[in-house]
Amino acid sequence: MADITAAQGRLIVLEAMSWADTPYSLVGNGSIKGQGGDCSGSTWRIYTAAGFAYDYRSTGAFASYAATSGLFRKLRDNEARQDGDILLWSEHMAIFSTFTSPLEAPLRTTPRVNRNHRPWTQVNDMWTAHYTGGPAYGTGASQYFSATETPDVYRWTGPTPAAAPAR
Amino acid sequence: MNALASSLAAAACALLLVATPALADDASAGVEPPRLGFAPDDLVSVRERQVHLDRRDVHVRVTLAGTGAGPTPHRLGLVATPSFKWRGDGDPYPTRQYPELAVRLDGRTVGLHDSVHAETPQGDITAALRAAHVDPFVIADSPPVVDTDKLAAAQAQALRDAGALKPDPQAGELAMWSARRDAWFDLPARARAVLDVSYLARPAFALQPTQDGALDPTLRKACTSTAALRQKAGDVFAGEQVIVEDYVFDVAAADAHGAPVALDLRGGIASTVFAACGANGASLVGTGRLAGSGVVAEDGRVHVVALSLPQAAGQR
Repeated sequence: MADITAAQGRLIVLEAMSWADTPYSLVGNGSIKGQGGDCSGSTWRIYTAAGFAYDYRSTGAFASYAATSGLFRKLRDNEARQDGDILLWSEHMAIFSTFTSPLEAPLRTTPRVNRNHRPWTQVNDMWTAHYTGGPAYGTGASQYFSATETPDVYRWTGPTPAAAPAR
Repeated sequence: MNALASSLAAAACALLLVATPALADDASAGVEPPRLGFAPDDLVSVRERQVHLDRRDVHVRVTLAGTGAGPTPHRLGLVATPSFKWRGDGDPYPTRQYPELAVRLDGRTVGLHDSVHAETPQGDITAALRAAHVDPFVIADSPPVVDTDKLAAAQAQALRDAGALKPDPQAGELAMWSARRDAWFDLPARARAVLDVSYLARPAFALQPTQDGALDPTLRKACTSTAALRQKAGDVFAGEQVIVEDYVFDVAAADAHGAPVALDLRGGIASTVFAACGANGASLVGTGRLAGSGVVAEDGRVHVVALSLPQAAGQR
């Protein structure tokens, strides 16, 4: 099967946006938009709602599922990421976004302050759940999310919904 | 005092812990618990040991004997915490130096003297950080921004040369070292003393399927299995998934002579099922609360596994 296009991937990102402010809850496939969800559950729900349905897998089981289901392709290191790609760490997953659509553009950066009250600006590249007691579902920067691991990137190669734009 | 300092350093090294693997959201490898030791360790005997857990609050009580005998006038207690480095925004346990750690001796809070060690792969940078007045535990921030523009140029450069700083185009310069905190305190000369160590638990956790035996490797640490636990606490297996938490409590190995451990554990959820190894390989199991004695400690450590059903948002 062919890769999903960037335009099709934006359907996934738009659905991810609609999960903003959903509280974190470690519930896996019990994740529900607006009520609570974790990283694997929210990603699964978002893909399914956007028309790219796959069987729920926890973060730890996703890589082997992607390799055998025929629904995803692991990107090579030199391949550019595009909207809707899944970022997969050993214990976390999130949805990549370029934040270039008009709806998302205002969310591309997040103001932050260091411990000495010096402000700086974070450039976001993903939509993500966090952890119990942590922030609600929202934007994030993959380079700061894990300091010990670079994520693998997976792109949908399964069937696309009939209404999805080709370009 | 030199001999004592050497003894303390040796005790700290003996308690030195290996950093845990990467972690984030759906699962965490947890954080090694504070380890309790003594210097000189052959002059202090552990007699009784208790662990209390109430939600996240941990209280370890150890009854000591022998702190008042022997040729050495001073004895020290040591609480060693794990070496760690910045792990990222996804780390649910960023403060691995246990800043909330508190020690009481016979009911009275004791002052802790901190010994901090920081290093990069190139070597020890403890003195360089101290000279530059940089908090070694800025690594508990995410990202760990170091305001190098406030440092003397030579001090900032020394840290860069040691591989302690990484430039970041957005945040500035980030701390790339690992650091470890050892807290020590005086043990006064008494025939018997009761030591209480308090901190917040940072257990490993994961959401796991209940069906395929995936839980068994973890449950073996509590001398039980999925099949055995189904008979005792079947409700927790009602769904497809269960939250598994793996707690490790250090209860002091020093000359404990196998002194048994008493547990009193309460979960934040009434249906949480606790399991731990009891005497002769039997498993102690409790729902909502586990209170029991005769728990086995191996190398001064007790494992407790807690299972709970995934809860809706706001219930945890």
